[in-house]
Amino acid sequence: MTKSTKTILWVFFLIVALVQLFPLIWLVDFSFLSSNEFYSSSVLKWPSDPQWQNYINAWVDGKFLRYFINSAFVTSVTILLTVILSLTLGYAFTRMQWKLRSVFFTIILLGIMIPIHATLLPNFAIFKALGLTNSYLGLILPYTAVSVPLGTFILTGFMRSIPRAMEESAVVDGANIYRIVFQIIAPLTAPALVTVIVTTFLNCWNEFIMASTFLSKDALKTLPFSVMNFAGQYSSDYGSQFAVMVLTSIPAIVIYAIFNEQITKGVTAGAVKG
Amino acid sequence: MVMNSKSTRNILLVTALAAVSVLSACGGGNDKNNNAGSSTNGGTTGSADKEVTLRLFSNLPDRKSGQGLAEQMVIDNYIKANPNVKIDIETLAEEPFKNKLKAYMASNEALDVTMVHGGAELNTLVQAGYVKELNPAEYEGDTYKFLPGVYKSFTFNDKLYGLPRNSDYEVIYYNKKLFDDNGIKIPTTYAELLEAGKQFRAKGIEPMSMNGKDLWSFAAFFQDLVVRLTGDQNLMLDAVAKKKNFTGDENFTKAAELLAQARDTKLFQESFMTADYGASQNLFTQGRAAMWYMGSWEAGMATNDKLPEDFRNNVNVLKFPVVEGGKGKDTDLLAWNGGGYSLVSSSKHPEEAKKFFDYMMSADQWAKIVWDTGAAVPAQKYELTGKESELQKQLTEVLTGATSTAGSIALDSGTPKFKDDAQNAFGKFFAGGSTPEQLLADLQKAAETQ
Repeated sequence: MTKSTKTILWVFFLIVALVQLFPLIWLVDFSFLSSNEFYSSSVLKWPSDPQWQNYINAWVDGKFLRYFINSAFVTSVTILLTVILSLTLGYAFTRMQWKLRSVFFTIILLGIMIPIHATLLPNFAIFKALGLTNSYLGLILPYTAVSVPLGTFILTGFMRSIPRAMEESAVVDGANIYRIVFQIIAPLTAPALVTVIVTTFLNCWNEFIMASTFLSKDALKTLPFSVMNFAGQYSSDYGSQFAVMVLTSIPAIVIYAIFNEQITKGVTAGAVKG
Repeated sequence: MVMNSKSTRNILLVTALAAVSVLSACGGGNDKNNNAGSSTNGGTTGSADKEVTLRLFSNLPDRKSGQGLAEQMVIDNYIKANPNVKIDIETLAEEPFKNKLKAYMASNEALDVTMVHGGAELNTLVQAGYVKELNPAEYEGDTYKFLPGVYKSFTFNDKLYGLPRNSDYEVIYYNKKLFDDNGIKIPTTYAELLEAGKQFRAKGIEPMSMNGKDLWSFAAFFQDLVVRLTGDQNLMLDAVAKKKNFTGDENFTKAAELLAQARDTKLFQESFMTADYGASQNLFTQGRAAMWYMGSWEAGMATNDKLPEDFRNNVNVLKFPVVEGGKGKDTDLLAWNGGGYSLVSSSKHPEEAKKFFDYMMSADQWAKIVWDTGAAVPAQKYELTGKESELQKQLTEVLTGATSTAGSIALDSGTPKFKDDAQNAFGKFFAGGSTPEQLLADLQKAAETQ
C-alpha cells in the first residue's frame, strides 16, 4: 500500500468515525443549552453560558439516582436469567437428543418474531390478576421472555461450531452435565454470551412502553421515566431531557467500550455455521 | 450418567410444577386480598379522619412548571387542609398517558380521579362505565363559576361525566417588532395575512411558524377558515357527525382553496412539516418567525424569563383574520375545552375522591392558580389581579369579546380513528401537495369510515 492510499484510507475512516460519533457529540453539546436555544439554525452551538442547571435538574427533578438503581437492578437480573436460560436451552437444542426438540426450538425462535408491544394489554391484564404489576418481577419476566429467543438463537449457532470432542473428554474425566455446561461450554461461548449480554442490556435499559404500562409506583420506575419528568402537555424542558439522556447513555457507552472486541467477535463467530 | 440426568430431569419437572402451583396460588391469594382490601376500605371511608390515599392519574409529568406545577399546587393545598389524605400522583406524557388510561379502563383499575380529554376519548370511557356521572346542578354558583357552554365535550346523552380545566382557543401570536421594523401592516383580513407572508418572505423572515409535524394545527386552521367564511360554528362539526358533507359544499371548497393559498404562497416556515411543537415555538420565540398559530395556553410566554426580553416585550395576540366576503366575524372564536378531570367509578374511596375533586375544580384553586401563573386560561370565570401581562390581557379580551364559540374542535369531535385519518389527510395535503378537492374527499372518507 502506498503512502497516499493509506492517507486516503485514514481520512475516510476518520470521516466515518465522525459521522458515527456525531449524535453523541450533538447530545452532549445540547445538554448544556437552555430549551429556548434549541432548533436554532446552527447544527452545533457553543454554549456561551453552559446550563449546568440542566444536570442538577436531571439529578434532582429527574430522580436520576433512584431510577438508575431500579434500572440497574431490573437489567442485571434480566441479563442473568437470560444468560442462564439461553445457555442451557442452547445446550439442550444442540447437544441433547429428545423427541420434540425441533418443535420446541421452532417455538422458542418464534418469540423473536412477536413484537413486544402487541403483548402489552394481555400482559397487563394477566399481571394484574397475578399481582405482578408494580413489582420488579413485572418487568423482569417480560424482558427475559423477549430476550431469551434471540439469545438462544445466537448461542445455538455458536455451540454448533464447538467440537464435541471437548465434552467427550470431559465426560471421560467424570464431569456431570452442569459442569459441562457451565464450566466447559460457557467459557468457550464467551464471545456469544457477551453479545447476548450487550443486546439484552440495551433493550432493557431503553425500554419504556412496558415499564410505563406496568409500573405506577414512583419508587419502582426505571430511567426512561426520568426523561418523561420534563415533558409538559405541549412543550418540554429539552435541555434537562438532554442532560438525562447524556447521563443515561454513559453506562451504555462504558459497557460497549469494555466489551467492544468481544461483541464484534460474537456477532460474526457463529455466522459461518449458524 | 444416564441415571443422573434422568433424576435431574425429574427434579426439574417437580420444581416446574411446584413453581406453577405457587404462582397460581399466589394469584388466587392476591384476589382474596384485593377483595378483603376493598371491603374494609369501603367500610372506613365514612370516617373523615381515617388515613386515605387517593390515586390521581394525570398527563402532566413536569411538576415544576406550567400546568403540572399548577396541578401540584392544588394538591399541596388540599393535603395541607386535609392532613389525613395522601395523594398518589401518577403522571405520563400525552401518548403513553392515553395508552395507559386504556389499559386502566380495560382492567377497571381503582383510580380515584383521572385527567381526561373531552370528546371521543372521554366517550370511550363513558361507554365502558369507567367514569362517574356528575350532577351539573352541584357545579353551578359562585364556588365554581364555570363559563357557559364549557361542558359540551364532557356531556354525552345529556349527562355530564367530567369537568373541563381550561378554555382553549386558537389565536395568532405575533412579534410586533418584526412587523414594525419591516414596515408590514398587521393583517386583519386573510388576504392581508397572505400579503404579509409574502413581504416577510421577501425579507428573509419566516412569516408564520407552524407545528406541522403534529398535524392538528392544520385542522384547527381549516376550521377557523370555515367559520370565517360561513359564520357557522357548527358546520364543520356537523360534517364530522355526518349530518353534512365535506364534498360538494361550496363553503368547504372555498375554505380548502384558501388553505391551499396559504400552502402555495409559503405562509408557513421552511420545512414546517418536520417541526413539532417545541421547534415551531422556538422559531417564534427566537424572533426568527413573525407569527405563530397556537392556542391560548401559551399565555405564560410573556412572563417566562428564559425567553429573550426583546421577544417578551413584543409578543402580542391577533384574532384569526376575517375572510373577504365571508359571513363570519373576527369575534367568532374557535374555542373549546379539551382537557379536564373525571371521577373514576371503581374508586375505593368515592366520598374522599369527590371531596378532593370538588376542591380542585373550585374557582379559587385550579382556575385561579393557572391564571395567576399564566399556565393556561381557565374554563371558569377568573378575577383579574391587575398583575397580568399585556399578553394575558389581550387573551382575556379575545375570550370575553367572543360573540360565538365552537365548543369543540372538529378534529376531536369524532372517533379517535377519524382524528387519525383527518390528520393524515391534512398531512397529505401539505406534504404531498394534493388538491383541495382531494383534501375534502379524504375528510369525507374519514368522517364516513370512523
